[in-house]
Amino acid sequence: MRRAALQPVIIGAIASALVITIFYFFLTEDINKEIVSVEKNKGNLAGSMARQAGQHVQTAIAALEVAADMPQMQSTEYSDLISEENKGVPVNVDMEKRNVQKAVLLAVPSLESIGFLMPNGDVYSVEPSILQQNLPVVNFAYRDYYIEVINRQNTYVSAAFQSTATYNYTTVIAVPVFKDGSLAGLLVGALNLGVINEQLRMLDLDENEVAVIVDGDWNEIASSDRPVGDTTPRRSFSYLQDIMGDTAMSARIDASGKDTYITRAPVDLGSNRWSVLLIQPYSDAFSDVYLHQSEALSIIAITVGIMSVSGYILFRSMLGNVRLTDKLEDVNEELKTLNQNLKGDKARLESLSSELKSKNEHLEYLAKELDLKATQLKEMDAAKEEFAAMITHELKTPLVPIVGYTELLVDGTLGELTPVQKEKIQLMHDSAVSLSGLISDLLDIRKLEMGKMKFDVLETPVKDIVGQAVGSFLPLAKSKQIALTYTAAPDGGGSDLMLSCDPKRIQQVLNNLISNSLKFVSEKTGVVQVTARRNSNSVEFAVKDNGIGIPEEKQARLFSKFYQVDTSLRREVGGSGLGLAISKGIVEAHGGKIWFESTPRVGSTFYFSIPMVNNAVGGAEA
Amino acid sequence: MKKILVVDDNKNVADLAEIILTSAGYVCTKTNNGKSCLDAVRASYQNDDGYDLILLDVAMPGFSGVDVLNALKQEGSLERVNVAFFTASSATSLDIADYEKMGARGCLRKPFTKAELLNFVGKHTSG
Repeated sequence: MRRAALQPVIIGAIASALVITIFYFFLTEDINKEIVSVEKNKGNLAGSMARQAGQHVQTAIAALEVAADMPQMQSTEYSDLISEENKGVPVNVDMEKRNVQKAVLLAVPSLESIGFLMPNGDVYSVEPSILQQNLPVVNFAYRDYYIEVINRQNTYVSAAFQSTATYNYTTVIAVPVFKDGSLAGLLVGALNLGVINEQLRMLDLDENEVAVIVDGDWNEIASSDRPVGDTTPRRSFSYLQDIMGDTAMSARIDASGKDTYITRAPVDLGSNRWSVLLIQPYSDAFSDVYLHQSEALSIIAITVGIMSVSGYILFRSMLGNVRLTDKLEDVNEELKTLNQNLKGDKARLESLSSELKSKNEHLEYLAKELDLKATQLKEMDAAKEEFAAMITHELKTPLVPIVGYTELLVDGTLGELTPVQKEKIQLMHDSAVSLSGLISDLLDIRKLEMGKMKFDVLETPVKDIVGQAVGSFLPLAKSKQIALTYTAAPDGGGSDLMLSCDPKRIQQVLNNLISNSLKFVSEKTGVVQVTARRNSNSVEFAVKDNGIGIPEEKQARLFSKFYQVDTSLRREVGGSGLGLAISKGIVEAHGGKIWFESTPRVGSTFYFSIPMVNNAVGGAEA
Repeated sequence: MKKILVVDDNKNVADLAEIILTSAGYVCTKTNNGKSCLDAVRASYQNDDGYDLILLDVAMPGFSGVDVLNALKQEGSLERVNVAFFTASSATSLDIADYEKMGARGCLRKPFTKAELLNFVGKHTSG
């Protein structure tokens, strides 16, 4: 059923295709014919111009060649017409030659001047004679026309040049004069090409069409768009020479973005070849063709339109399928939109991807930089290590005799001193010892910060650690009448409480805390209690005093380096301000923690706890 | 009387140790470099008059305390003489434990007080 309904449609389509093809065939044929005819017309016009220009030059050549054949010109009896003495003034006039020259000037008005050169190139006579009056003795053997004529032994037409006096384009025609087969001189005429210019201007050209005559070098000789007396420099058309070569008679070119049609006709002047060029916008040249073409195309379009509409109506009435088509169109539209959206998404994803890529590259670059920096830092670190070792050694070595001899002086080993001397030497001794301590402290804090402090871990009885730490301060406490006591509770079952740690370093922590307490309690009434006990899986140490306490606002920074609660106390009580920072470092390296409780004017208690197992002592590299 | 050999390139340090040790009743000999230390130790064996303790500075130019210790170890002398270091360099990569592993009896840190030196020497010469 459907198949049967389609048949008329197919027949209609075939028929219209046939009609269009026939139309198009005839149209193409017609257009081609018209194009050929336009080309022919242009070629004819250019050709006729070429002939006119050629005639203009040929007339002059003919006149000069006739003159060259005259016996007067061939006479080799030269008078000294121009000499150094009478230059410019014709004294002994060679009237015979002059008369011939004058006659030629009369016959060919566009010849501006005629000269006679002797075979060696010397100027012999010039007409009109006014031109000769200021002419010195000259030799024109260097001129191109002289050289060309000698070489060719024949007439030569020079390239055109613009006269500096008249602005007219001029060409030189040089004709050899022979007598009995040997050169007797050269007849040289300057031909004014202004006349050609006039003729070009009078041409019946289209709007925007320009006619130009160019010489053998494709330089402008005359042009229809050049007004009389125009002095602008002549134009070069050598770019056309590149396109058209010597033979092409027409060309369609792109001249500065303009679709341009060029027609060319050659002007043969024997030795020289000029060209007449018609230059016109392509659409102008073929405007009639385009007009006809578009008319024909409109007819085809209308025909096709009518046939399509009628075909469509036929199709629609037969199949009644309009809604389906509409729906399909809707779907198609939707798909189109979807597709565009997808395209947009894709573009966004692509840009995101390239962004990520560049970010990634940047990150890689940064990583490399970081690696480099890390290597540099390691190197610097090693250098610092060496430097620190050296500095410590060099600082401490001179302290050895100071500490030693001051002590020997005070204790009388080296002889008795007066009490004042003894007191001052003791001061020196204490200062040297504290300086040495400071150097050690600085070194310790540095090692702790770099994770390079070494710990010699031993399973040690806690009471030994506490006992030794407190013991070293007992003489000082006694001298200040401070009650320094300690208790180390035994582990469950009465055995000694043992701790796996570096006992010397834990002792160092206790030393710092005890030393601080002793500094801040009052003499005679001061009480410092050191305790150690087990608290689940840790050993908790405490140093309790009834000293001045720590003001609340200072508590936060207590474990910072070089921090002292009361800077005015520094001189009085001494200390580097590193003790607590070092203590914190040592405790934390053992996996423990350090803290305190304090009430101003009542006292402070410093605690630290060290885990009994798994304490992460170490951190020592190499 | 116990005999102590003090080896230190710093004359002031060696002199100080000598004064303290002498005042405490020790017989003290000094050398200022590792080579002469070795010579002195070898000579003492020939005279059958060995030292009770050699107190050896670690950082000496040329032939260091560690070099001396190793040389003595190779000669088999370490079983007959106690060697202990004293050093101002607490930043050296070897700590006391390392010195002890090498065969030294201990290490005294400089600067030392009279009591520290006498305690240290007393500890390593007893028994």
